[in-house]
Amino acid sequence: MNDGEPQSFKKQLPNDQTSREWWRQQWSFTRKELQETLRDPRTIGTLLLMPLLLYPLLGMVLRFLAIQGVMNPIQEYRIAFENEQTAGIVSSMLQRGEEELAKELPSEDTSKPKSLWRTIVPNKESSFNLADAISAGVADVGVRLDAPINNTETERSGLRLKIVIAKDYGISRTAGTIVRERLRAFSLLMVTSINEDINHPSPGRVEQSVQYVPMLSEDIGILGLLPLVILLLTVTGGVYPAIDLTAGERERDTLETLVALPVPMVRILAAKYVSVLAVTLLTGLVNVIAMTVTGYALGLQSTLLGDAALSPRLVLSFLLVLTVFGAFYSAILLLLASTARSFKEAQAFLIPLMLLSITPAVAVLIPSWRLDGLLSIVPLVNMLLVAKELFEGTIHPLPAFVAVTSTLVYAAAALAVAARRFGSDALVVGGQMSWADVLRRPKSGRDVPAMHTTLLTLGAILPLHFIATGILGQSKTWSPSSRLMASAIFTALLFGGLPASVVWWNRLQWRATFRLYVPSLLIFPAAILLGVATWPWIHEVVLWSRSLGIQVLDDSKVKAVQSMLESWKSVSPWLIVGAIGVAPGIFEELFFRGFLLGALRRSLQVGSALMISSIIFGLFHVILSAGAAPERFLPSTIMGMILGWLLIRTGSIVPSMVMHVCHNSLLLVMATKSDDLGKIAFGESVAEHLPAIWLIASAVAISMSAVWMYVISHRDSNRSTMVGSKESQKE
Amino acid sequence: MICVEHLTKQFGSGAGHVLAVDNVSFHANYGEVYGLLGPNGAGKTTTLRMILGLLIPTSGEVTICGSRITIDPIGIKRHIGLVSASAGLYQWLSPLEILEYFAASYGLSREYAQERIRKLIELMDLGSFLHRRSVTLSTGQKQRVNLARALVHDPSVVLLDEPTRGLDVIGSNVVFEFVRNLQKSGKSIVVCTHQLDEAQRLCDRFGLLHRGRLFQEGTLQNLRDATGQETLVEMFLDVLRKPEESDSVLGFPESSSEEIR
Repeated sequence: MNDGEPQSFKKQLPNDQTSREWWRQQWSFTRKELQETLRDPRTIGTLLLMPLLLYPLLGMVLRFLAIQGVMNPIQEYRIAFENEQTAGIVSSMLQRGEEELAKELPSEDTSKPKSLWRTIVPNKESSFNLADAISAGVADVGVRLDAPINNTETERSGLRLKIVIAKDYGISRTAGTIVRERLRAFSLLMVTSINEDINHPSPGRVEQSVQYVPMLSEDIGILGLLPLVILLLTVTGGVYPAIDLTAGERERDTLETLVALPVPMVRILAAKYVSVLAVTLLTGLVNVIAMTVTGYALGLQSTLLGDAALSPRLVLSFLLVLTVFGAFYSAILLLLASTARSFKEAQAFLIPLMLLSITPAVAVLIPSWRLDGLLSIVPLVNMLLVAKELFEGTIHPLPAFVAVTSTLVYAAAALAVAARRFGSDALVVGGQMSWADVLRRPKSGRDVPAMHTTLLTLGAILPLHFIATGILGQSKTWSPSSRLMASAIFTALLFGGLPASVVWWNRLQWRATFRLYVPSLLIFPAAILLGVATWPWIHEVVLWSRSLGIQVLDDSKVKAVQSMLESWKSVSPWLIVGAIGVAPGIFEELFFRGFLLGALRRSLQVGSALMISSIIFGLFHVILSAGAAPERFLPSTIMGMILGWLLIRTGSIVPSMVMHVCHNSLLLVMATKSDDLGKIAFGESVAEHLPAIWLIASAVAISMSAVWMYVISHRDSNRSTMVGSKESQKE
Repeated sequence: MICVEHLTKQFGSGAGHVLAVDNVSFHANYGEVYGLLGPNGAGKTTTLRMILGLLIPTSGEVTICGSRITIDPIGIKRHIGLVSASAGLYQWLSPLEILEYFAASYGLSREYAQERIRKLIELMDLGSFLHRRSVTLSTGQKQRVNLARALVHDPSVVLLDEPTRGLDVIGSNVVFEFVRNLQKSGKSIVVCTHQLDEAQRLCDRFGLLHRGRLFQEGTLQNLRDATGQETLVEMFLDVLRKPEESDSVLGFPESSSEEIR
């Protein structure tokens, strides 16, 4: 490390385009790709003709089956009861409810069959577990009592019934709806006429609740096949444009003029990506419309979707899942197609991909596969599970968020590799560069990582970080000091070791990549001051993000932090500060500020690079397999921006490391000294705002150090420019 | 102007490596047409691709208007216009859309782009088919669009790669006029071709490339004095007959002589 290195990013990385010009140019690239794709009759063919022919045909087959009785949409539903007593009571309730409903809808009477359901009751000897029976498909829906029946008081005040439904199974859901509607009608009737009919003692109000059970039977409803449908929709849409816009460029001899443009290839490929994604989504939309229209026209909607059909929220969510899934799949398609030297080769690459992706689509039909833990970061599988759970109504926001985020990161990484492959020597010259060449260590390197290297590294660190936090979360039996040590080792390996191995492999410059330059000594007081003065405002941001409803304080979390703080009392404070203060301070800075921000800065405007790197920094603090912390997103992102600003101002990683270490360590010292301060330090404090005087003092200190930092770095960059110009005069 | 210094490209390594371009240096001044001549496989296109930044040179430097390819491989492309006979057009776009796309790609402002496109439409006589899809254009019309496309950003250096390949007499004449116009407007022009008779009519100076090396360079008179041959064709045939006279000329394939017309 020495002092004579460039101080300012701006001078080192000239970028004469304004961001408006940049976007105008990017739009021009995208418009051209969209025009090329959407004017091509073959694209329109796959986009419109396929669904227009496929769904009516499929619908006719389903209808035929329905007529044949194989899939009768209006069937006799099988309702199971625990015992005969319940069966008797509930059956009469259902019957009266049915009569009430029939009064409301007299016109439909003729079309309905005489009996809409039949009851299934166990033999007196055998025990009958209702949930198991529904899971096994013995009956479509089950009803049991939640409260004892022979209690006279309960009889008066009402009954509580539990409706058991198989969640993957459309017929079960429809049967459930039929039962619930009739019970509701009955209950309404009882409430309004409770005092009128004294001769017939009535159970009064009927309360219902639903219990969903997994479907174990092989006969899974068509609803369960929807993830597979989403996959096929996506695949059919994107394949042709992906091939046409990449391998097609070479086939039409336009690749050379494209590569000769003074534009990074990743921007051209990003435009192609948007185009492929647009066609994919359009195909999805056309398919959904065709499917719905066919369903309505042939009266099959209840067979297809049960009672889940056509709620606007569901359709919207479906489109959202399709978008994320399409974003991932389009990137993979583009990656493979970019590698091909011809149309034929591209097709040869994509067909195995399509076949391969059907396997996870079928696998997610297994009821025990849920979106949690490791499955939420497995590409392809995670989004299929999101789709599945969305339709079941069992989805949880956090694993879904993890799935979406990780999928988008994978898509970005795939796109970056595609950009590297597309327009490379092999494609332009027609050489025999293979995938092995991509994996071969380059002979010469550049100074900082290229965009594709950065995104690939990010794509690797994200799941590894998730797994590492998962291991730490599982390690409750370890001693506190071993857990702290493990945490420090994981941090060092992930954020230090992995980027370092990328630098070594790609023969990048260590100092330029990690910004390992010694800044002016005068910067250190400002960095330290920033480090110790920022936390009160960060605490306020935590409170503020909570007031926005980002996280409802959860007792288990507070308890977890308390027990962690308790366990630390036996551990050396040096170890605590070293493992959670110093290690993240150093290694996270190496990756997020040195590696990531430095690389992003090469291709993006300084503001966008800072924003993106900070958001990624924020996301890493949220996506933890051992329990998510959405309230940490805003404060971490803001910290990321301050730390990034520090790096950009000084050109060195050291001040941001100093600030990060000081910030973390101060919070840890506070945590070990006092339980209350500990809660603040870990963002688990209930709602106390800090005294105004603290905030004012903090604001003054932050402003002072920012001004100090600005003046010093400005002076240094002027000086280095002057030295530079003198040297050039000498030459 | 364009200045190429010690440009070298090696494909592969070890025993199986190929030295496609070996220490090639030349320059083309403003208003000068430089012909980079040689049979197929001589290294012309590889040299051109390195100048364009499509291939990374193993060593050497290219300087255009002060930009160096080793320092700013993307920025240098702004100064270069590429004309290639084999280049295709985006079939579903109209000539106007293609010109607008390339103008935006070179970062021209909207007003300047419109002015450039208007001039090029006039110069290349594109008016009658400006809004038609390229897939419906004739070969001659496509060629004119391609020439206009190469000039949309008003480059100071124009590279022409086999510009008359596959064209008839009329088409070739359009290219000749195009080059004369460029020359008058003071651009540096590099023409890569194996059509030696055409090159003789078109270029001011020549570099004769053979097996990746420049074995002769200068004006036609310089070359005549040095080789004792009258025409470029005779100069090449002379080298083919006596391969052992130059170390760089190692076993020139016999079939290649047919490629020299």
